[in-house]
Amino acid sequence: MIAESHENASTAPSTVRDVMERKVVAVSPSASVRELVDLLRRHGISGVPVVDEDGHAVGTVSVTDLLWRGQWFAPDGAALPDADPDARGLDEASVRDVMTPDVFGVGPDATLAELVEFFASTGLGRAVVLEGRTPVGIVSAADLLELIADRPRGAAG
Amino acid sequence: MSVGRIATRVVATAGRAESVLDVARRMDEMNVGCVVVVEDGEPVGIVTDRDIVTRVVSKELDVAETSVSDVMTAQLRMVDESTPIEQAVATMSDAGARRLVITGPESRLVGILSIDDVMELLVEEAQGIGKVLREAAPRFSASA
Repeated sequence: MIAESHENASTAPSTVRDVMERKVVAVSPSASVRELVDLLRRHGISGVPVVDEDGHAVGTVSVTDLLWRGQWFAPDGAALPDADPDARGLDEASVRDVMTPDVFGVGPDATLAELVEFFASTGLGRAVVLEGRTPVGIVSAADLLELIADRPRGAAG
Repeated sequence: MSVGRIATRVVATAGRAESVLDVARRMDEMNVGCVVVVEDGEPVGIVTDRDIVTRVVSKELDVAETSVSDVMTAQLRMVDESTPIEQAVATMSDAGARRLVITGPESRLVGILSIDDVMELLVEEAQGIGKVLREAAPRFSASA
């Protein structure tokens, strides 16, 4: 029989590495917006890190960027769907044109408490996990929610 | 085209008095990022996964003992389902909001319009499907 009295501390997730999604979907800055949109749709996600040819993160891009910074929209923002998509079409605009040139990253060894603090202080709900400048994972508020949801009823916080 | 046509209609809901733990479980099971808090069918608040993490967990509150009404955002951005999409997008853009609560008659909850829904439309538009939908729209509304 295998002893069942293992400590929670040894199995409970405690760092970003323990909860992050390791499959990183990323896009090149030179990809067209159409390629980006196809990528987001195919994976059912709202944003991705932008990585250069060396695999280094150079920005992030999300549907928010596309809608609020998309240059095929009228400048006043009252755009869809009457704006002429050909003005600056999905194929002409590149990821570089619409991305946020900042990478909101956390380290894989950050504690979950630090991750919570990161979300609270930045107003973000998702972060790229970076080892140096290379994305090695994605972590979101939903990943933490999962931990909460899995918590046994009545367990102390 | 109105927001009612592209809004997500399957929406997770919660009562004010429910615990954050129960709501977190519902969100996880339904694989959604937010719940709308309703009272007598009317939306009174919204809670996102991020809210739970930053307003409950970061303050070391007990998720089983904290009620949804303590952490929800009560100032909802609501638009009627008949609102044109252009106007809804402008509202989202002005407010920096990623979601709008869509209501029907008597302010009852109809759905949520997320920025992802708008993105879907943009793509369809670019692919010419939007044009077909627009042309078909009068026929649908006439028979409704």
